[in-house]
Amino acid sequence: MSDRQQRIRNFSIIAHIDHGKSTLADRLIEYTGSVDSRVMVSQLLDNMDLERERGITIKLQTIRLIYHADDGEEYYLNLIDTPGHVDFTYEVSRSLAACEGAVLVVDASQGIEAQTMANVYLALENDLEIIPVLNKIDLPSAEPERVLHEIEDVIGLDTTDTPMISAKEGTNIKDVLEAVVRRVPPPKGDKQNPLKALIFDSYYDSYRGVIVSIRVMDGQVKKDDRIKMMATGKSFDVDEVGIFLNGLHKMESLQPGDVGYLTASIKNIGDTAVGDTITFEKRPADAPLAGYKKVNPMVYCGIYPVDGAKYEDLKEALAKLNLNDASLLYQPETSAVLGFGFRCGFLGLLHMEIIQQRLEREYNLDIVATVPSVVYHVILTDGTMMEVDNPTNMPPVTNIQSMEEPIVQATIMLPTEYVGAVMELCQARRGVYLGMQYLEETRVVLEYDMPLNEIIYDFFDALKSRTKGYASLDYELKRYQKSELVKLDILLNLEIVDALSFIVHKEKSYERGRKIAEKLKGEIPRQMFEIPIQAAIGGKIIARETVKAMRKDVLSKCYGGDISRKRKLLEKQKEGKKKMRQIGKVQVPQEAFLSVLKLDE
Amino acid sequence: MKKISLYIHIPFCKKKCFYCDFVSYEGVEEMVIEKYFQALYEEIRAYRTLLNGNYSIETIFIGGGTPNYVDVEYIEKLMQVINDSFDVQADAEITMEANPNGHATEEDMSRYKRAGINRISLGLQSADDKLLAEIGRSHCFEDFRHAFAAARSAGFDNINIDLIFGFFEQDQQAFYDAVGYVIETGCEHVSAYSLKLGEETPLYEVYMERGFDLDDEDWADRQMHQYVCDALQKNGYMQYELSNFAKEGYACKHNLNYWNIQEYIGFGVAAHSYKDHARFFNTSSIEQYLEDIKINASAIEEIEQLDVQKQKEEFIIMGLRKIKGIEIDEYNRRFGSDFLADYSKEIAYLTEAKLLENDKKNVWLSEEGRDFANIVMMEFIAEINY
Repeated sequence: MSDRQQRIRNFSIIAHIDHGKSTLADRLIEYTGSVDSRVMVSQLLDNMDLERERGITIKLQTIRLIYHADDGEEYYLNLIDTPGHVDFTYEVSRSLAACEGAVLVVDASQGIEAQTMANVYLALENDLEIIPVLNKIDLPSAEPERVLHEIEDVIGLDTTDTPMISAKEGTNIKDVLEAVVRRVPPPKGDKQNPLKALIFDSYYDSYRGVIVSIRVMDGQVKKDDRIKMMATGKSFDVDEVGIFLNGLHKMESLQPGDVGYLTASIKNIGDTAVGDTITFEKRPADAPLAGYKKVNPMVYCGIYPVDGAKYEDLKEALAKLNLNDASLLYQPETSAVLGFGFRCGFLGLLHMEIIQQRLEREYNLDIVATVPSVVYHVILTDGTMMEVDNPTNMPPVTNIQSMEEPIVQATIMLPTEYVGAVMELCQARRGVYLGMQYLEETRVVLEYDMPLNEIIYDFFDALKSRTKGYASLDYELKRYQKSELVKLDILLNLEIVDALSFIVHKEKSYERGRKIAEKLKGEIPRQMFEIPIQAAIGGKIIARETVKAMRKDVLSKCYGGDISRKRKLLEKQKEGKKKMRQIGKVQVPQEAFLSVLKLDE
Repeated sequence: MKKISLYIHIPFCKKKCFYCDFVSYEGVEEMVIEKYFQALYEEIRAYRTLLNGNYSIETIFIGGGTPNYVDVEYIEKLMQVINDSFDVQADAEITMEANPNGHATEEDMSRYKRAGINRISLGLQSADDKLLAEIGRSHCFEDFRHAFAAARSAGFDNINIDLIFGFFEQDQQAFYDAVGYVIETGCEHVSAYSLKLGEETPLYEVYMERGFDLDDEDWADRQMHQYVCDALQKNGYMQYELSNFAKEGYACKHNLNYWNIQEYIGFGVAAHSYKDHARFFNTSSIEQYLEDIKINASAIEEIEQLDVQKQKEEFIIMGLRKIKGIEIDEYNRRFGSDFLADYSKEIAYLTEAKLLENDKKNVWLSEEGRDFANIVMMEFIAEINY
């Protein structure tokens, strides 16, 4: 192993949302002077506005820190940031696979949370050296002793010499750097072996094409090498290699243990799948690195422009988002009600929410999203299986032999006082209780098997409201399971509103149908005729509400002083009407579509 | 010479009705009333140069508030000031609103008549004393009878009676009885309004506390509306506007001028004017009014100059209030444009929806359309692009 390789440390910071991961990263960068302080924006690694606002990382960022340690040596510390959310578990696991160590940040007053655990498991799976760090020790509510205990009891980590820091105040940052140097092992790998480099991220740059983040495991790579992606099978000529040092920093070559980037005039981000292994075309490695898998969307919904004329804008925006996010799938679809739009697939609910918000904020689009759906397996009478992610595509009941739905294992961490309420909620959502573990006297972990379609409606909101925001949730796909599922249609004025159809468990269908009908009744303004709102399964009506007909809309008195006011009122009324969707002859406000997504009161 | 109308606002009442959201004040000191009228006279005189020589006064409407709440002399003087200042047509329609329990004896009525007023508009509202008390009217039905008889004896041969319906849990039979009494009086004109309760009114609060659903009252409201239309028409009162009925030749010229988008000048607090395609109105504060008049002889608070689009919109929405609707020729003449072409799309689908009818000379609301006038009118409003 070269002397240089001995002085490389590759590590990530893992934490639950809000525990201070990004702030710590900022401090490490600042402390080592890796970024000019003038260009340092708070939380540099989270470079999307949305990320900074929500305190989560969506897109990975990587940076090399040069650190003069107490032993007198200069070290290259490659900090690989990880996305902090459940939806991006696979991306987290791949960036962890590029490291030898992980700094586990735990909030000194909050203690361990659901995502802390999930991330720790991922780190352990990847054989990482885990360095616990207690953050926010400056807060009056900090209880370092208790939380250290928790880390030892629940995770089983040795907490001697645990750095006690305040990333916000910049306290004891050096302890973290020293711990990384001393405890994270240097990377292995041999320069003479055929190239093996792990792709852990990629993004699109309009000038250079796809910029691929890699960790070299074996061999070395330089400009003009002919490389091959082992999973996708695509080959490219390398244009440039380099490291992340205050931006992209060109290098002669990348060697074993290095974390850096390469460009190779790659136009399509899909060709650089996260988890894939890069090798030489002529002299390939005998086997790819373990752990590659294709990520499939778990949640789908239709996205439509409010103004039909904005279809092309929406298309362009999705294409742009897709350049940097291969996990976002989209394809055109048509709705009788909403017109032209796109069926979009997401890794999970947060991913969906983020994309919707980015379309609205960064691309200034007004969109309507349909009820989200998971991917169902429909086994037809002829024995074949089809995947259905859009209720509209569900085949007629007579052609269906059986159906299967995705089941996830949900891990919920919460204060003991809310256990009853949360168990009730999980039970109501068809959860199957797996177990409960006490983290300490006041906090427990609940494990449930839950149908994903019960989680995607408003489970997060319901969980939050039942626990005053103290519960945290993580879930992962476990299996598909046979289930009694039906398609529920909503009819407005006797016409099916395709955008409101969804697939639901038979036992829940009556209740949900009734609730939606009630909710819509409150959202649809009275019109000149009576409007029946019906919920139906097949041809059978299971719930009905009526929006009574409006009897009049007329101003009785209108004289000299009322004329301009009257005109202004009509202008306003007209403006309101413009924001409505016409379904048959019924005017439906946009809010009605949103309201059926939030049924839990 | 051009014709113009005048409106004079008397913002005083003995007591405000619980459903009223007009600009009017109760319990105002005599000294303030005195000052108000002095200011009002000054405001009128200040218009003398502007109107004289070019305009003749076609109609005058003295409204409120309660014009017969203040001493009769104020009104006599008011009429004198108007006549001294302007060229009032000999056949001008001059209306004054009156409350049955204001100055309404035969002697009072004779003085109003002598002052030049030739049309009285009496606020009966309801013949049901229980309801009258509940909605804060200070008169009872008997007061109305006396007032009406006094007006007749004084020689008023053009009398309007105001009715309101659509109160919650209103005794419908009592309302139908009231319609009967009104017809019996042989009055020349009836205005029948469906209650539109402002959120700022005391009655609104009371109703909310009692848990009424405003929307749910529509059904009873439309029944009473239908009744009053049928009963009046059967007895020789022609409906000529959404809420107004008159015997042949007695339609209110002053109000028709509003609906025909003619010019008018308003005097007094909160009074609105329309002249040279501009809408403007006075301050609604008495104090401010007194001060503004003292300094400027004018109390205009805001002016809106209408562009052609807005002029068209107002012509249409006000025109549609009339039962015979908009005169297409008049639209074409005013705007140098073709109504049927300008709005061919709107006319087509509103006709299809049976809300609008036309015979190429006029365009009017269908009977059903009258209940949904706002919906029809909205279609003629241009979309505002922000």
